[in-house]
Amino acid sequence: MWMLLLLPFIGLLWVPFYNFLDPVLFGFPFFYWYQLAWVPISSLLIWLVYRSRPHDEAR
Amino acid sequence: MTDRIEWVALSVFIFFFALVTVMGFFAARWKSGPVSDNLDEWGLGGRQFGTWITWFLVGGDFYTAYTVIAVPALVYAVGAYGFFALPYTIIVYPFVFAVMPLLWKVAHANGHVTAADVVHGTYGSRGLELAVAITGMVATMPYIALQLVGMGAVIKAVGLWGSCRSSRLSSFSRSIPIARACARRR
Repeated sequence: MWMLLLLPFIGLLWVPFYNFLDPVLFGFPFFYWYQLAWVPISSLLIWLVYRSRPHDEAR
Repeated sequence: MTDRIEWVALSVFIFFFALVTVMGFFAARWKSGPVSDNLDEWGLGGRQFGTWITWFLVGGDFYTAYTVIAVPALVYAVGAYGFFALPYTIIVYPFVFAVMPLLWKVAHANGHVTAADVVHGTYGSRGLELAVAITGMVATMPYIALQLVGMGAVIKAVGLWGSCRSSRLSSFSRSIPIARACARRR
């Protein structure tokens, strides 16, 4: 499960993956909406990893 | 950017400034401990911050004058280059999620306050501790400078230039000492 946390690094740190104009979404070039899409995707991935772990003792 | 006083913006600015100041004084009484006795009280709020308060603290750390003034200005000026800010903000979260709980456990178990304390406690090296502490301070300097520039931009945006640049001083701004000084000099 921890490997999921590497996906945002792979998806975002190599600019040639998303340095395109098309496909345009709501008028936004792919370059912009692709990066913004990683915000909710990363939250989801962190949540999945968090859920898979046993809970810490609170204090 | 205007050189007139923006009343709506200035009122909102003063309202929140006063609100946060008053909240700060109330918060100082809330769950207060012996501040002068140990660094935990001063630096970590007595280790009493739970998830809710920490969430706001992280938000306050992240979304600053840099985020709301400097990055949009950079994107406006140079376009897509300014978008470096978005990927790095996104990848910080999985990194912090993986690393910080480990750091927290060590710090919590041994009563460490700063990152340098953790390094000294774990590796027992004064030199390494010093290197981490100095790196932390030096690395913070440009960021602090950036925040000050950002705050300056915000204050100018509400019409307070703090200099004689304004050529159309209103009757109110002439009543502010610095504006009066400007008017006299002209």
